Amino acid sequence: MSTTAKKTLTLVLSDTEMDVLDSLSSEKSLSKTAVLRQALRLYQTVDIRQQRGEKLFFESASKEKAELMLL
Amino acid sequence: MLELFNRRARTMEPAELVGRIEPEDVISLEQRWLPPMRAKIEELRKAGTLTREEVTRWNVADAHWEWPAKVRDRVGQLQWASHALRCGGDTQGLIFMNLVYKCRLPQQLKQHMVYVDLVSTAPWNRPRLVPNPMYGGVGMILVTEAIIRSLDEGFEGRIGLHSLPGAESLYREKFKMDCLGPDPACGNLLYFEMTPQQAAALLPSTAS
Amino acid sequence: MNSKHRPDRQWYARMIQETLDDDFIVGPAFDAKPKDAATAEQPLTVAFGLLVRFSRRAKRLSVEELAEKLSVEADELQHVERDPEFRARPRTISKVANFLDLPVGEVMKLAGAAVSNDASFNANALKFAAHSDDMAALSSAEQEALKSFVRYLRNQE
Repeated sequence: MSTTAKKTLTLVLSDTEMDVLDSLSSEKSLSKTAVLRQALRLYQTVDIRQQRGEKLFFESASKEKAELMLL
Repeated sequence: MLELFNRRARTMEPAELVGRIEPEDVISLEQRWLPPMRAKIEELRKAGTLTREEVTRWNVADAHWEWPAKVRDRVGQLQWASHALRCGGDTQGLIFMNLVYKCRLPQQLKQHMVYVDLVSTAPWNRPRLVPNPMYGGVGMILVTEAIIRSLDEGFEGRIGLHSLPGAESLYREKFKMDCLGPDPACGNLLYFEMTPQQAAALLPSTAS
Repeated sequence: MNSKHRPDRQWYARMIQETLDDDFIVGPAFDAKPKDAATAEQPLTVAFGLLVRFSRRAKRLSVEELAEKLSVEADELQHVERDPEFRARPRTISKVANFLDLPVGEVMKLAGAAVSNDASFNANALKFAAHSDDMAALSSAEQEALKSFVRYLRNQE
């Protein structure tokens, strides 16, 4: 079944990128692969909605400003 | 190898969990599931009793869920995982899970979870809808699959779901999930979450 | 489906028996009235389906012939023309727009692939969508409606 077949990708990351990956992995208690999978899912989700004409906003804790994310 | 309980023959029957909802499952839903469900809704409408309570009583709340549109929309999206459960030559159950939602329960706030978005079983399996239901265990297998997926993803078994009226005791007592109360963003349905401890208690520890 | 976390047969058999009469349906609560959002989108896709159908008939093409010209599935085109709840793929929508020489963005809104908050756009689409009688050849009223709507869409660019 296509959804269970796996392929291998070798990534080359800078030191900084690797540090971020390590840090996220540790903070979220996820393997580095799991972090990257989540990143891919989120990237696609945001992308699809923007393609449909929707906009992405961040709302501050005090709910005063809604900042448009130009991604 | 998964099995469903054939309530009529009173035996266990082999079932297949499909890695993604396929077009044939959508066809099965449109041609065989929806007609009896819509018929019941129409019956209630004509009798003037089309209320949330009556729909719950007959267990046809999902008649308007638009599975085909959702399947079409979600099929290429990585945030959505889905399964079909097949047995006896037909599609018996369907599930959609979301993989990017985060927890709200204070002790696991913002941790990753698998969110159970939609679960349906074929109308001929529903004891409240038909006098002689066919298969038992469809929904149980599918919701359990969300917990297994959560473990596989590294989310430690955390799942979340909104319970339809009448099902609260199932999640509270049998699955031992925590209830965060009615969710105004979801028609005031009760929102439940499972913690890693609860998942470990529910599923037997696997031998290494 | 393999997972090292999957319980054994006995666990499943026991759990099934314990939950045999429980209700595992999960999803939105029943709402006797359909959501406003869903009904607002429907006139737009009806207008899209009608636009495709009328334009096709004006050119005296069958669904299969148009599908072949656009290199899309005849089945999908059939759904576009007939099913207000159907959401065509963006690729198909842009092929239709190009074929009809219409601004792609406007057709995307009509087809439900992009958001339309424009009340005037929605009103124009609704007006056009009211012409959904099925006749073999376009009546002069239908031809007028088609020309008028196409003119409107081209002016939006």
